[in-house]
Amino acid sequence: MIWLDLMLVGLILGLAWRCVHAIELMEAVVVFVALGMLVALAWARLQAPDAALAEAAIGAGLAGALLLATLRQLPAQAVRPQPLHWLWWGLWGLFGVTLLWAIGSILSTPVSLMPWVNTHLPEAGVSHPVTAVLLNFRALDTALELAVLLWAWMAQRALGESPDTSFHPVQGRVLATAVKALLPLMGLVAVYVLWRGSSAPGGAFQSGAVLAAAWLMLWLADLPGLDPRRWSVRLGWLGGVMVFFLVGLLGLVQGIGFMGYRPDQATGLILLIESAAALSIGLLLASMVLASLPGIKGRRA
Amino acid sequence: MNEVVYLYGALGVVLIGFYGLARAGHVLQQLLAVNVMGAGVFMLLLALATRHTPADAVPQALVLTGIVVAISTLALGLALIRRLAVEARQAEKRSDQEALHD
Repeated sequence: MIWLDLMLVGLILGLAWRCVHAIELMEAVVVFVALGMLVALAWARLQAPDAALAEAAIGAGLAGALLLATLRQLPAQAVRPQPLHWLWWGLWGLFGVTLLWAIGSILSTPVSLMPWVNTHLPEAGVSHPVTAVLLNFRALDTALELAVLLWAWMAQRALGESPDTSFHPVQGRVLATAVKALLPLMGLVAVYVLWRGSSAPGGAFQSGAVLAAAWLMLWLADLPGLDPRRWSVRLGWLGGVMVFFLVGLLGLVQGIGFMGYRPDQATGLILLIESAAALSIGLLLASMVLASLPGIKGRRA
Repeated sequence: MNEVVYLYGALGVVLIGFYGLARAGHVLQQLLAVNVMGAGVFMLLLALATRHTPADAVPQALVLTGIVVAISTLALGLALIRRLAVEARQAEKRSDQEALHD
């Protein structure tokens, strides 16, 4: 199956080249979204279904929505590529040679943390190693990542952008009915993906991406229930980080250190964190996309 | 053996992204180039993870974290670009009005 990998990598390289080399911004954006999909396929080939799911939903889907929404608000202008100095090409070549050397040296020194992960997996509370690493062994990384997402959204709000329900770009009976029919199903899928994450690929990120799509559809279809000015929604933005750090403090009180769980409580605590994180990730991602939609600010001004 | 293809593919993606970052004629394209470089780094990590059977979970978890951080970067970068466009429009409107008064 080496030809499949060669073809996939070739396509990815070609699309990456097209993306940075496009003369029109629209072309660059469309190629970038296509690149996201192919990269998700590559992650699946590399035995990383968790990353593939997240990349397809977040990296290609939501990034595409954000990019296209932004593109519509930019004045049409031709992309004028910067002329590059020969000194820069020297730097580029040096960078390439260094990377080549680094990859070669990694290849000759195989290091893996997997034996440690396998040793401690029985006391992690979940049986899927990726979820165990994310929410138990390296929980602080995941907590900080949620904080980064929250911080990015706060910064976006500080730039004067906020989802405003007084304007709806898409409306109509068909959409509203379709959303009403699809929403319970999407909720079910989100809960299933979250629950499945403890023993198989899936988890808070993938579940959060499904929730984000559901929320976006709900907001776009103008159905009542989720006004971003409501306190419950604001609490939802903060919820993931808050629950994560509160559970972390619980470990500190119990004397196992910050972000430590007792093995018999680990499953429950991880599910609690994952549920709060999925809700927060979904709300934050949906808010980011909704705030970027064209027309919202124009209507207000 | 397949991971070698992805390892050197990752090198290519990072180098293309770096080239795009320097060459880009628009901030949006610069932002895309940064994300292309990020995809190359993810590919490197995931290719290294497959040297272990079953695949090493630690780099995979790192990539999952990285994907969310990358989308945060993209969202914030795009918000800054939109604000820049709004400011540019207003500045243009102001200079037009001044030209009218002169």
